[in-house]
Amino acid sequence: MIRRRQFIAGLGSAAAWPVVARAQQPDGRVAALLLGNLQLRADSTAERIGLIIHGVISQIGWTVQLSWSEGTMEQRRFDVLRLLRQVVPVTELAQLDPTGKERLRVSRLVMDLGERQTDFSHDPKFTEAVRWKVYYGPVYFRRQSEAYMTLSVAGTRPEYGVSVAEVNLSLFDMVRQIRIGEHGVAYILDAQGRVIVHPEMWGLDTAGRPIADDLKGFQRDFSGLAQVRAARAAGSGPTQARAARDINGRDVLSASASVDFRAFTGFLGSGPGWYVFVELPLAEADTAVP
Amino acid sequence: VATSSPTRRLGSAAAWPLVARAQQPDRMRRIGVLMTDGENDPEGKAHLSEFKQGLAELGWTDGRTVRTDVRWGAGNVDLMRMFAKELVDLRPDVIISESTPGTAALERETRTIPIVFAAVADPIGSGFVASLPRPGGNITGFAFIEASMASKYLQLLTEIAPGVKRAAIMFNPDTISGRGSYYQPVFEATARSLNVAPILAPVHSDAEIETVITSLGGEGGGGLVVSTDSFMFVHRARTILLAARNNVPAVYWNDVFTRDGGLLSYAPDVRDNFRRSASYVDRILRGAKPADLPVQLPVKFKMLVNVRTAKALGLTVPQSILLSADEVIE
Repeated sequence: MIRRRQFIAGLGSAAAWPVVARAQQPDGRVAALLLGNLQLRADSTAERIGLIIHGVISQIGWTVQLSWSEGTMEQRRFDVLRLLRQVVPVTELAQLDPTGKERLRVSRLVMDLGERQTDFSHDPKFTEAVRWKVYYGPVYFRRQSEAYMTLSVAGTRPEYGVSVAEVNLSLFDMVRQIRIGEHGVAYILDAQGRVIVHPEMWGLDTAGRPIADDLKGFQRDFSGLAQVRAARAAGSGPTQARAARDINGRDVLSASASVDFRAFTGFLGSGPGWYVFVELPLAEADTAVP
Repeated sequence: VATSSPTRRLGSAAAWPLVARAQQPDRMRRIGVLMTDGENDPEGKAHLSEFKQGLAELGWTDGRTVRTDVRWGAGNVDLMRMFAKELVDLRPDVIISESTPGTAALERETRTIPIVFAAVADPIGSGFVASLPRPGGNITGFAFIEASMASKYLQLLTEIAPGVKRAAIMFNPDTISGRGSYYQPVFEATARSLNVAPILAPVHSDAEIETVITSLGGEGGGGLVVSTDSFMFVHRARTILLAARNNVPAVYWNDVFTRDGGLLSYAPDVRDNFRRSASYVDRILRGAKPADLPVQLPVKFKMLVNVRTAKALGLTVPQSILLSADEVIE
C-alpha cells in the first residue's frame, strides 16, 4: 500500500489519478495522463531550478557594482560578507579586477585573503564571465565528497571586474529529494550533457569516475541517451515525454524541460542551458496502475 | 496485505511481461537515535525535531512508516555506552548518533547495523570511516568541522581584538580527537602569517584552565581559541568567567558559549546537519550502504557576537563582524 500511495503522491495530481484508474479509462488515455504528469513534473522542476539559480546570480551581481578605480577594499569586503550571510550555498567568493587579477577572497572555511594578484586572465572563470556575463563551471568535488560548481558573474561594465563564487550544490537538494514513484529519479544535465545533480551522484572521484565499483551504471556521460539527444535538439523549445532507456539500461518513461531565463526580462546574462529530466521505470508505471 | 494487480499496457511500451506483481506487505521500519544531551536540553530537542521533520519531508512519518527509539546520553559516556547496547539490541534498520562519544559507543556494539552520525568533528581521526568519499564500513554521516577552520578562528580573534599578539588554542587531549593534533598544523601556520605567537594549551581540569587564562591575561596581548571538545563545553562557565576576569578575548566553536557571556562564536549549524542526516537515513532505508555514502561536510554556519562582553573587554566590534553575525547579543 505504501508503494501505491507514494506513487500516487509522486504523480502530483493525487486526487485525479485513482479516480481515472477506477473509471477504467482506455489504456491510451491512462498512458497519456501518466506522460502528461511526468512532463508537468519536469516543467515545474525546471522552473524552480531557474528561479533558484537566477536568484543566486542576481545576489552575486551585487558584489560587482563598484568600479575598481573607486571604492575601497573594505567596501568590497563588506559587500561580499553581506552576500555570504544571505546565500548559504556560496562557500567562498573571489573578486577579480578588470585585468583578471585576484584581489580579495572571502571564505566560510578558511582565513580570508587579500591581494594575492593570482592571474585569472586566461581562465574561463574570468574570460567566459566577461564574454557572457555569467560562467557556469562544471561540477567538481571538494575533498572528494562535496559537490560544488563555480559560478562567475561579471559586472555590467568592464571596470567592475568579476566575482567568482564557489557554490555548494546542496543548493539543488530539492531535486535529489523529488520522489518520482518508488524508483524514479529527477536529475539535471548541463548543455554538454554532463551531470549537475543526480540522486546517485555520491562518491565520484575528481575525474568523475565512481569511487565504488558497486555503484554500477553511474557514469557522467549521459550525452548518448536518446532522450538527452532529443532534449538538446529541441533546445529551449517544448519536448514531449516518451519511452526511453535510462543510464542503467532500464526501460523508463522520460520527460525533460530546459532551464532558461526567458521568463526573467531585463536579465543581461545567459541562462545555464541545463536540462531537467524526470524518469519513471516502466515496470513501475505498469504495476502501479491498480 | 498482499494484493495482486492486473497489468495494463502503456501505449509506448514494448512487449512488457504480463506479470501481476504481488505487493509486499508494509513493514514499519525502525530507527534508533542516540542523542548526546539530556532529554530536557532545548538544543537537543530542536536537533531531534529537525531530523524528524527532514524524514517526514522524505515521506517517512513517525509512528506510521517508521518508528524511532530515542535515547538521551546526558553528556555521560557510560550512559551512552549502555544506551548504545540497548539500541543495538532492538535491531533497528539504522541508528543515528549525534557526536563522537555516541558514535564510538555504537561502533563497539555493532559492525553491521548502519550508523549515521550528525556532528562528528574528525571521523577519520576517530576511526569511524576509512576516507570521506568511501567510508568503507557501517558508519557514515555528517562531519562537524574541518581542520582548516582553525585559520578562520584565528582570523576572527585578531579581527575583533587587533591587539592580540599571542594566541592559545585550548583543548583536553583526552577528549578531543587525535589528542589535539587535528587543528595544530593549521593553527600554527596561520598564527605565523598573522604575526601572532601560537601556544598549544592542553588542559585536564579547572585548575589548568585557570593557569592558562591567567598567564594569557598577565602579560597583555593574549587571546584564546577554545576547541571543539566536549570537555571544554562542560567547563564553559569557568572558562568564560576566567576570560572576563583576566581581560582575555576568546572565540568559541559553539554558540552556547556566546549566549553564556563568551565574546564570539562561529560554528556549523548542527540543526542543518540533523536535517541533512535524514536524507542519508532515507537512502539507507531504500537500500544504500553506508560504505558507499560519502561523509558530508557542513554547509551552513552561524556566527554570534556578544557586544556586552566586547565592551567589558574594551573592544569595539568591527563592522565586518557585525555584518557577518547571525545574532548580535547586546
